[in-house]
Amino acid sequence: MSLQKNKKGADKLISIYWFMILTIIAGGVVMMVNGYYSSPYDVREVEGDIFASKLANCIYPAGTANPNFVSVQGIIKPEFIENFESHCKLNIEPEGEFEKAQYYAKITFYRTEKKKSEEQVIEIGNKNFLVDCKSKDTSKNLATCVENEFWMMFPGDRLKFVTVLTAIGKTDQNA
Amino acid sequence: MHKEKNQNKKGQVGDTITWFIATVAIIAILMFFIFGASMLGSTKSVGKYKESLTSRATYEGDDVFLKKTIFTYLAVDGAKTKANINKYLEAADEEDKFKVPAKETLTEVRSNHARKE
Repeated sequence: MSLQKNKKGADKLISIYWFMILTIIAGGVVMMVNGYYSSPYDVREVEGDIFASKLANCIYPAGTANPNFVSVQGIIKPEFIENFESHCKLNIEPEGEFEKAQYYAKITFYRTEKKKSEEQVIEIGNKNFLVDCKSKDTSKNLATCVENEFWMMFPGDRLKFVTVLTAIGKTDQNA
Repeated sequence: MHKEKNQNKKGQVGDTITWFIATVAIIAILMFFIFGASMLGSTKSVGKYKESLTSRATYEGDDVFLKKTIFTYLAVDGAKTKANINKYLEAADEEDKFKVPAKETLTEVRSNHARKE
């Protein structure tokens, strides 16, 4: 009689133990899924590529230089550079009042593809990211930089080699 | 009777140790997997895919910058300049600078260009 009671007690204890283990494992699985899916996808490289193609399409759409960007004489219009963002329909200003800009772009015009002498440079956005682009460190705490290049024909059949460097910050969201 | 009780006690201690070690092992394995999952999660990056996924053979997208260069190549008149751009295209293609093969894209754009004309 006493032995049977003991067995019942031990069974109850083991059931509680298994219930606890089950809860711990279930909690662990929840933590694993949360740990994996809560961290964001780093899309800065793709974003930089899209940003660069938007800039290239703005100055050189469909194989002809934008007439608002370059004059008939083949000179880049200063007025266009001054209001580059509005002309290219870009919105790279930070959302909050005390937040810094998360985008940077540098369009450089060269005479040849050897990139020896810069003829003209257009820069927009947060210039601090340029240091990150020169760094060899690939840490997530640095801005992600993408560089693209193409040949462009200016009016008067003058050729220019153009490089478009874009940098996306957003380190707080991705680090 | 006394001996029997002692033996029972020893058995209980042995059982408890077994269960305790098993619990610790389960928790340790769980911790390892939780850590692994969070580590894998932090390396998620769109744009850096496996080589087999981004290779030119499987890529179905376009290269805006390559097309711009090709448009320039087709629009330009001088033979020397044309040769220069062609040289650039070949060199850049060899360095895998473009997302799609330059030669095939050039042929495609050229045929579209001729059709329009």
